[in-house]
Amino acid sequence: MTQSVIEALRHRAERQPERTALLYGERRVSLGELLSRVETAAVHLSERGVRPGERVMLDAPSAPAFVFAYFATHLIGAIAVPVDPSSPASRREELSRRVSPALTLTADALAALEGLPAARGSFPGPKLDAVADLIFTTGTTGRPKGVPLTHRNLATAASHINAVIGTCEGDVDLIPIPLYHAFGLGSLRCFLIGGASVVLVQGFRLPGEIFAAIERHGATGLIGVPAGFAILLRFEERGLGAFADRLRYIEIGSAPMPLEQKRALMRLLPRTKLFMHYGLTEAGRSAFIEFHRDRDHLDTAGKASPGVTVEARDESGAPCPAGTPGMLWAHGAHVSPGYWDDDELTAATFVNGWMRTGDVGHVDRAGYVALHSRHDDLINVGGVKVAPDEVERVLAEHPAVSEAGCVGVPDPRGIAGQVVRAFLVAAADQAPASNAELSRWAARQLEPHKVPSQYEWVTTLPRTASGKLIRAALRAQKGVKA
Amino acid sequence: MNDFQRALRAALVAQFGADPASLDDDTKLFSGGLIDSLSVMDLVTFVERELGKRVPPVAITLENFDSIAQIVAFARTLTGARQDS
Repeated sequence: MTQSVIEALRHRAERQPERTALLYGERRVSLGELLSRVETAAVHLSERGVRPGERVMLDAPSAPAFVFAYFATHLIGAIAVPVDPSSPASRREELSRRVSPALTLTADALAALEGLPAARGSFPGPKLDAVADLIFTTGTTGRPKGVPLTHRNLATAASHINAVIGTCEGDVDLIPIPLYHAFGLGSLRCFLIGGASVVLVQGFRLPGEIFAAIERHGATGLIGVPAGFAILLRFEERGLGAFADRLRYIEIGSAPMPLEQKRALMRLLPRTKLFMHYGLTEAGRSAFIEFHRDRDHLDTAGKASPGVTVEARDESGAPCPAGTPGMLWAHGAHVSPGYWDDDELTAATFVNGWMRTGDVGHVDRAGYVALHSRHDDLINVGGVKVAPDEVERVLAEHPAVSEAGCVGVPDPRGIAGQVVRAFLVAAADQAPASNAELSRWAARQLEPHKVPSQYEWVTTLPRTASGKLIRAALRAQKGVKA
Repeated sequence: MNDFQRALRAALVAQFGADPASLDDDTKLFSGGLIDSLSVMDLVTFVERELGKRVPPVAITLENFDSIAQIVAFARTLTGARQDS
């Protein structure tokens, strides 16, 4: 019988209280301490008036107290809403308006949680079909999509993922992806209920922090995005290669990885299982590939995860024959029940437990899923999605610019996957702006990864009769390959 | 200011686009957003070329690379130079 992640964690902590759950800098948190702190935080949240079904915003970077508050939110049946604390205040305010949180926990509030005396409450645990997490992800229009995930979604996904990766007791897993990111948070759940110890690292800032953490904690597992591995790979044998006999597995996700990078990882880590997942926040880790095992299918996303079905379908929604491209649909107990506060988008995306992913690809006779393209125009910079509309709006506000169109182009450095290239139409009677000036302008209003790194002035942008920018035509005109 | 420090400052302006007016020895290069962390390898390559020494991968941390002063201090430990050199 399926049990929620917090229930599974509670049972594990009662059986193995001494086992190490979290490692963070000098600090070690045992499973027993983790459970005690989660219960203390749950009592605190209840006393602050948080009730089942209400939202708790976690507006803080990765740290043990984030983990305590996250599971405490689940324990009382409330909904955790992780947000990027480095995103602009206006964005976080907008999310706050949309979710009306009963409580917002910043890094300071989480630090205060650590000082509370231990308390125990009586919490029956959440209902499996209640919403556990509300994750905001970039939408094509720039308005973030709120993706609710139920306890059943999270628990089934975690058990399936652990079955694929083989996480087991004694593993030490490094999570350098922020916990407000679905990949980081999902890995935390999987590793903890699988009995592994989790090393929290403050993001993938500089590579030495990753290498040092692997060495210091004897990490056996590592997760990351392709842009991170592109940096780590540059150190070859003296970098990741130095841990070839220690790393049991690696999991990669959130963006496509170039074939040459996959092969470089295989050469460097011939005995490490190299997993890469394909999925969306709405249907996380729907397919997996293991590079060594699937060496003849490296250009695919692998096969559907256990309990998951992935199909290519035509425009009428009928399944395509094997090998024929179509829209990819995913089905399984991991699929979100539908978007937060957007019934129209929910109706267009979720049908009878299936999710229309927006990706185009095919499934071959052996079940390998191949991705051809994103159906939408999102740009993927180092695993972080950028909505071109948002960047275009900011650029078009510059006095020297009358119109802007942005597309993703391959990162010439071969690191971030894609970077943003902006095509601009000059405003009449205005002094021209330099690229540096445009980047400074954009950086004042956008997160760094959204700032274009390439600019090109054009006389017109391709538009529909109603004036909508046609980015596919722009890409074709300019010979841009995603 | 020694030759390495001068060359480093010049490279940060010329190669990495730092504004010379606002770049002092303690300006935060990565945590302050001046340099994209994806470009760290270019900075490491510059340091290795200037010093003629390999930088151990475990040493590429914010503690060693987040400002001119930190890079210069790290360079001293790497080359075994005395603190007052």
